[in-house]
Amino acid sequence: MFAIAAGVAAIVGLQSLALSVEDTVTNDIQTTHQADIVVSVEDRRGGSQTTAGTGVGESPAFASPVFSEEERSAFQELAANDGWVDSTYVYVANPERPSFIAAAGGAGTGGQFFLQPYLIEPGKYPLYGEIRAVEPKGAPLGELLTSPGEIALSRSIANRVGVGIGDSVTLENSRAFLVKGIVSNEAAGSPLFAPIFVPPLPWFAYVALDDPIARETFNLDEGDANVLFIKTRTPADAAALAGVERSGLPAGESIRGISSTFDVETAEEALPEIEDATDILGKFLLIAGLVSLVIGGIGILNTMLVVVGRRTMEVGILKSLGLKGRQIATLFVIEAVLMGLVGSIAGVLLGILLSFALTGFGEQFLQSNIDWSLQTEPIINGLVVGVVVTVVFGFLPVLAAGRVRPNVVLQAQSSTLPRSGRVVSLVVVLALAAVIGVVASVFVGNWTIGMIGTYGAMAILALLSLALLLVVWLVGKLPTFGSITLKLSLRGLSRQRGRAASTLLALVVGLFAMSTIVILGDSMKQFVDETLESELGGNLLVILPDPDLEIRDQARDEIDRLGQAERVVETHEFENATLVAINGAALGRPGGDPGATRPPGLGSLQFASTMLAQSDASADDAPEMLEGRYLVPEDAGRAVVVVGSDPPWLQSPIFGRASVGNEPTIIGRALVGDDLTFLVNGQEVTLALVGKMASNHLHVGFSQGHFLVPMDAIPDSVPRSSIGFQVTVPEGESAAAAAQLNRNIPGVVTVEVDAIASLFKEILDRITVLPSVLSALALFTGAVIIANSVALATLERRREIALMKTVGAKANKVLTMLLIENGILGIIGGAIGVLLAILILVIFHQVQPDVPVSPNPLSILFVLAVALGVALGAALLSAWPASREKPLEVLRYE
Amino acid sequence: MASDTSEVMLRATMLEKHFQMGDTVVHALRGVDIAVTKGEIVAILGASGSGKSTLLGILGGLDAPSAGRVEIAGVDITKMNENELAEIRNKKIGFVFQFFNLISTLTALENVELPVQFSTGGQFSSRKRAEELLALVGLQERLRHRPGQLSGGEQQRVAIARAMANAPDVILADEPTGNLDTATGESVMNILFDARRETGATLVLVTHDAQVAARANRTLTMQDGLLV
Repeated sequence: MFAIAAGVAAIVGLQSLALSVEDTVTNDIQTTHQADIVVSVEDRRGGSQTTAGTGVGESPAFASPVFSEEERSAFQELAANDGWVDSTYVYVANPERPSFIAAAGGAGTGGQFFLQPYLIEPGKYPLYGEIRAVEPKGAPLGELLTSPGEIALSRSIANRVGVGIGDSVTLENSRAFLVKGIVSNEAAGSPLFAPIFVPPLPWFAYVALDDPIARETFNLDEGDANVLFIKTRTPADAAALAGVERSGLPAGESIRGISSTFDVETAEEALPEIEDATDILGKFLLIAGLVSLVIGGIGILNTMLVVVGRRTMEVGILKSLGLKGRQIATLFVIEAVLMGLVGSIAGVLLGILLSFALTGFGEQFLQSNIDWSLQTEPIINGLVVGVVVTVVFGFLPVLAAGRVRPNVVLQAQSSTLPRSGRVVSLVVVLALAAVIGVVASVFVGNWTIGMIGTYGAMAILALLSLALLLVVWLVGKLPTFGSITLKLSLRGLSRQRGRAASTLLALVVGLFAMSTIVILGDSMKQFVDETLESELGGNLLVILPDPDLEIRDQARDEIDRLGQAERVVETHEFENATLVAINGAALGRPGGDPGATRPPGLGSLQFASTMLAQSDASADDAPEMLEGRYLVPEDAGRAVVVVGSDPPWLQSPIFGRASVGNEPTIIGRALVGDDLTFLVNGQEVTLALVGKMASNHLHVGFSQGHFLVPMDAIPDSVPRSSIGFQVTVPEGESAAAAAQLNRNIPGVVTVEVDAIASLFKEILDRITVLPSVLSALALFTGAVIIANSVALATLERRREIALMKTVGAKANKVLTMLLIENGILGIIGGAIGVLLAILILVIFHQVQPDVPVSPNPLSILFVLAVALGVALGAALLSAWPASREKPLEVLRYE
Repeated sequence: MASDTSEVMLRATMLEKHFQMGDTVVHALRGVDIAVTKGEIVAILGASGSGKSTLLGILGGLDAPSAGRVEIAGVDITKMNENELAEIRNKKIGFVFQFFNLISTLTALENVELPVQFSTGGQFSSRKRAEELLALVGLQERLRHRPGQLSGGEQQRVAIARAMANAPDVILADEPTGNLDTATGESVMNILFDARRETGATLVLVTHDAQVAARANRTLTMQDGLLV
């Protein structure tokens, strides 16, 4: 009954959570969406645009586009419309690159950290719902930011920087802001800033939009903003104002009419997307619940086998009194239904508690508050599924009960259940799978997936069970080294191989889930570490505020002045560089020779995202080359270039083909020795190709480009898109060095690479929190099965235990025997779970090479320890009382 | 009663045992006094439910009495904890049951080895001792057989060998022939008596069989929880 309750609890708990999430985000769609209409400025750089701070000649590289004055006036005019109730402007700072925060005035840890600043109108934002501080507890955002230079931080960033209320911080090396409040990490959660399933950065801050210090920090003029939230009277008003087709207002008189470059979304428009996302989440959680229930089903099967087996005598008596097999089976089915019902009711109650407990994890995962509520749907589902699964899994033993021969009554001590026959069993199993398939299909809402999924899962489970049977058989053959306890344990395992295998199966499923999450999380973290190390090649990242060569020279001097830089790599990026000619032969362009059409697939030879990197990274760690050579120090200032293997077409023989008539002719293929001519920010630069690298990526800093050129190969007259340094300083010196560079170079941002790593890890932790909880839940169900199995095993072996005690075994010896037995199961279950997880991840890695697989031995030990702990803990529950029983009590009544 | 001049191996004084069965209290033993001298063979007769098996179980430390005391070789076992009782059962007492009660997953040899392996600081090598005892009961050819592969008589012989494993002072047999046919029963009893004679152990056996009882030094009858 416990097994049923655990399975039903999982299904009720998870489905309730899914429904609560759905209700929370869809019932109050305005709160989720933060407004009835959200208008944001798309990135209009590259064309005529308005960017923050354009009036004062600041660099466009770090500023975001904002609404123009005309656009704001147009909004104001629209606001006169009756349907427009309220609105508030927000400036989401630097959405394309993170901002930086550091403690000021001696407080905090001294380092700089990433964060996402939101400049808001404190009294008005948010239009729906409210944000209250966790410190000072309950204070509304509007009351925190009342004077210039005040800031409210998320809990996570406050902890990271090491500041509290009353401390000062700087943003982008700005003047100091006074920390007035700390808000929960969930406060920023919304589809706008964080689409569901992509957890938002928990590092953010709010400052007032009209705060002059904030405006100065982000180069904003008065009134500059890039997002507008609008509250309307009705959804129809929102549609009309937004300019949704056929909504009433002529398109020209709507928000979409003001500018075609706005990103406009009404709450209603956002709803299907949100519903889809929550629907996927719901199905994911439901399937997790169903898996738990199937594991629970195995427990039910075991329970029914023992229950019926122990009542063979009773069945024999009933038959000797004239009851038919069918009538006996009916009796047991009724019993199974009752058992299923009582177990399911207990499971529903447990599940309600579970869903309440899981809400916290869900909130952490989604970075959003979830309104927990009692739902009727999962309760009904839980009851129905619980009873169905109990009857389904209980049916095979019941079938066997009907075949008990009445003469068992004459043979005392007989409790052997007859077999139900292989063909009959197979037919029954297939029929029962169909029943489960129907249930699964109804839940998933797709018959094909439900039925194929169920039969597929049953087939996998059957194969796995067979393999586990073999494992249990092999374990029974292990040497016992003369230990009677070990011998009895191994014999105990091999006596009930089927049950041991099914217990193992439950454990393996739970531990597989846990191992997958743990190994994947580990691999991702290691991948982040390795990538950062290999990409950045240093422990400090210095980013200049503008790609200005004068500031670059100043930065070089300051880095020299540090006196402890072990290695310095300077990187210059050139966005929008275009390869235009090879050996002087122009590559085909649209509008060129009418007879020369480019082969399909190549498209334009413009590759706008290509960057040229300038570096002195021609150091010892030369990468593998396909052809030619890597850069050497002597290349400094020479007009040479190496190319990565990416893009692949550059390596392809068809590169640069053009058609003459119908026959394609190679007009250009980059070979080592060729001169490549690029159009870089309006200027032509010709470089000799000296080598082709084997690697797919050619990274310098955060830039991912196709070409690498030596330092000073590109004339200073060609404008850079950005300039940065990667600096390696001795361990332990990075914080001080970062602080020194930040202090001495105006506007520079120096970040410790560790901070970047910890950012990624924090995000990974958030992504993995819910799957981890689900795997723990699967493991919990596995633990329940073990407890159930041990209880059954001890029930069956009460006589054996009593006998052992009769001939002098002490209680601890008996306990040790049962614990060894289950400890072996735990270790094997853990090992198989880990191996399966690694296997699946390795296969997945072959298909999807971006997903790294690098299991951490410590984590594997952790999973094995969990497996052992779960097995021993569950075993102890029933083994302890069994080991304490008085022998005569058992011998007399068994 | 045994003569006062002989050494008393087993003594029970004013033994009482009460069970709660549903709403009623069953008085299985209602003040039993018994003393068995060293090497004596005592048969206990009585109708079903008269308290014979309960008495035997309490004498062997398998259960605790509700009142009274039990002494084995002068040592009061009623005050002992579970571990001390296990030690007494292991070293001082051998049990033979009606339904053999062998461990089904172990071979005949392993079943007989069990008490020796459970004993701490024992005097025997378990394998050698088990082989000797199984030879003594005539099962030297069936050492590797599991209980399921042995006949009832053979199983009971294994049980007798197991009871003798640690050369106990007392053997308690609860209807040892109750589940066997007459011929097998007689042969098993011969083996039991022979084994007892070899070791000089005290034997208390519960039986319905008057012929078996006739082979004892003394016969006691139980009725409604009392020796009459």
